[in-house]
Amino acid sequence: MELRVLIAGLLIALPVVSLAAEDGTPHPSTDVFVTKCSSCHSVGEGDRVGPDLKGVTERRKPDWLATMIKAPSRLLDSDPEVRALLAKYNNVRMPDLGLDDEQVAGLIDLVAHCSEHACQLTPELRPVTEAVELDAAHGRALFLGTAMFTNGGPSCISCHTVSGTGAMIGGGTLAKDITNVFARLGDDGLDAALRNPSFPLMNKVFGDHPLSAEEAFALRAYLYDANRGKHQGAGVYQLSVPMASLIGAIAVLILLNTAWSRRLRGVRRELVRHGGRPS
Amino acid sequence: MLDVILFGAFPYVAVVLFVGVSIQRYRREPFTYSSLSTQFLESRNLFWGSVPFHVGVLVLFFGHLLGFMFPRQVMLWNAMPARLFILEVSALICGILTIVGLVGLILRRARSARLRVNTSVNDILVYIALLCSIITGLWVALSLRWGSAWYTHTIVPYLQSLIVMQPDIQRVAELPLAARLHIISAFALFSLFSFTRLVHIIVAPVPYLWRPTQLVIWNRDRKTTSGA
Repeated sequence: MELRVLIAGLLIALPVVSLAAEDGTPHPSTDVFVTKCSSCHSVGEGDRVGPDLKGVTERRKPDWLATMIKAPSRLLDSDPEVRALLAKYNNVRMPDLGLDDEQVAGLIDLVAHCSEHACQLTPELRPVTEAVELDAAHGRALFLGTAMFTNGGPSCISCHTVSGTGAMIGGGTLAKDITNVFARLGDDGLDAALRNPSFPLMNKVFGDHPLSAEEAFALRAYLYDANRGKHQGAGVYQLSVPMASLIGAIAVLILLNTAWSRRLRGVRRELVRHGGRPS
Repeated sequence: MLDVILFGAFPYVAVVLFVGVSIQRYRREPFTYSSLSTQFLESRNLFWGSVPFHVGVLVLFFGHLLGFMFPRQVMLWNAMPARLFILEVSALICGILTIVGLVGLILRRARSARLRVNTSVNDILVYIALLCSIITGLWVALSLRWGSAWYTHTIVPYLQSLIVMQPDIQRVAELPLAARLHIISAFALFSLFSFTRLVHIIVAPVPYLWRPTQLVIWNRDRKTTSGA
């Protein structure tokens, strides 16, 4: 029933929305696409984290598309074609984005429209080629956490690693190594991934703490350098947490033994030795 | 669905059991609030088990609690890589002390016939839950580096969402397996708490730490008795 209403709504909405977009004004769903989709998808600009969506409205049925946009989790495990796509795109699962039926219909129309006409579907971007040394240095500070994000987001090093940070410690291992993320996502894709991340956990974490355009620019500059191997060799010597902890634990055990094992022993030994005997 | 049960419902079950049964047990069976310690008589045998275990587990418990209460301060502390390193190493040292102590205590119990007789099913459950918590904690520390940094933006908001009765399970459901198992084992410990010897935690004689010194005066001729 819900699907029928959706498809009916789609058929009614299609000509209206398309007409509205004919006069050169941005498509009404552009904002939704930019904030929810553009970090992983483009329309006609090539693959990003996920596939280029150009022409997808002609290749797929509307109800399949609607389900894939609204609740991909329903198809990701069951539909063999989607599983094949998932494998092709590095097993990055598309999250359920919490879109309503109207937004889904609008997005389908936008993809159909932008497959035919050129659309600006990524935010205006200051290209990383304009960055100077200072920008990359600021990006490194943001990555390491020595400079804080203005909206209170966690530093990148909490979860990610980049080889050659120059710090005495390696990066986090909760999420991917992002040394070469610039090569994978490109300037546009990386900016979108930083400011509107679609990776489920990162999306949650930065949902309340978005990065500013300037912070994303600085990080892009740093990651651009990292991708070119500019930092290779820096900070090769890294302190090992397990090794330091093992040495520390042995030291603490020795300390405890020295400080504590004789505690009250004199009195206790006497009491235990004479316990139960008539004195 | 499983995530909703494990991270949305189970925590509340654990808290209800923790609070409800603890109070009921204290009212009905006050004299069972003990861990049946033999520390007085076996201080030396227990040393390599009990002391590292308790030192490690107390620091870790309060470390997790402080991180939950002051996430912003933890983030500021971690703003320098050297400080982040010190915090993580300190935590892992305590993790190692805890596992060394617990394994020592389990071996001691397994070897002694007298202790085996006095070991209940609940004691074994406590050991299993503690082992799960510590092993998954070590697994997190070793495989998902900088837990103290990502904890403040994933698990802390999740725990806060539990308190306001609007569980934001996506924050933890997307975490890797080790971290999810660690969270579940922590709630399992809370569930078991009031049924087992773990209750000794809330009746620990903390004032002993600052009570006045007690003098032991022997009311007998020590030379005679010690030579007997």
